[in-house]
Amino acid sequence: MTLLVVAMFAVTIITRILPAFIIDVFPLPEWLVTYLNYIPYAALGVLIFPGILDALENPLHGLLGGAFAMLLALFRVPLFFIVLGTIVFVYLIT
Amino acid sequence: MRTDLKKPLMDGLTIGMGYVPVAVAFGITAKPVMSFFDAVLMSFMVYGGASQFLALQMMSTSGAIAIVFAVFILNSRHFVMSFKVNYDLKHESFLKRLFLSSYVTDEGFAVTANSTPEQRHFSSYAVTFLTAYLFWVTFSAIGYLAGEWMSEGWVAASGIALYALFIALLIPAARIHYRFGIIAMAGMIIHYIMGQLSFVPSGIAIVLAILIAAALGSILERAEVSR
Repeated sequence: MTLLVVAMFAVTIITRILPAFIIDVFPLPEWLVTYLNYIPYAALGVLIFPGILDALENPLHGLLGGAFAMLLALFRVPLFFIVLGTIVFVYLIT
Repeated sequence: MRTDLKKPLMDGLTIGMGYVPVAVAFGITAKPVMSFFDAVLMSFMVYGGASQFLALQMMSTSGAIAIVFAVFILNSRHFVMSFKVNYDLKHESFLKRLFLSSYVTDEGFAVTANSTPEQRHFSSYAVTFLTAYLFWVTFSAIGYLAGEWMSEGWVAASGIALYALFIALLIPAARIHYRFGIIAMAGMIIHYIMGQLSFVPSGIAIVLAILIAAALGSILERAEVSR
């Protein structure tokens, strides 16, 4: 079991640290820099949906929780309190 | 405490709060399958929630090679995220970037990706990443040892935490430029469609959806600039 964990570690750490080596080797072309700027927003979308449907037992509760978080974000509530507030909201509706 | 590290610390605590229910659930799920040492070691070394659950799930049905390969595919998205982190911190030394790279997660990446140029230094990333990491490892252990004593309703409700975090990060970006919102929507739709294709492994679907949606962003930007 411990060996398996170490093997999982090896394949995971490679994907994490490889960019640290690559970025030194060659300067990034301009199109790649533009492209990189969109990665965070593409990633956020991909991480939110459809995963949010499985976040709670009932997919509808997940969507309601997401809508509540969105509402708090629109009112510029600080990050920490959006997360905390959404947990409390979901606890109350479930 | 340096005031410029207050925000990174709050970001780390916010991620940490989102990690608590996931880490506790991991500890609880791991308990019948492996020793305390191995469970904590997995959180300590692999540090990837989804991949750790996948490994637990596969243990009863698959061999070690299949598990390691599935973990590799699922975690390969960190390459894309770590690339962006390294680009934003390219003024820092190689060793500092190497250190931070090994703690890149979906959440750490997402929180730091919107940072302003002044916030892009080693110490602020390190504070955010290591605070989140501490929560992950500690609460994996607590979940293993004391998971059954935690309030079930609270742990279940906390399942929304990381999604609330991602949404909270997306809204201000979409406010800055609608294009960021469109790209995120595209990512959601592409990911959903790929998820329906049973021949695409979920790890590959995540990476491809990110890469395609981001490409759409560059294309849209180019189209608007040239107009």
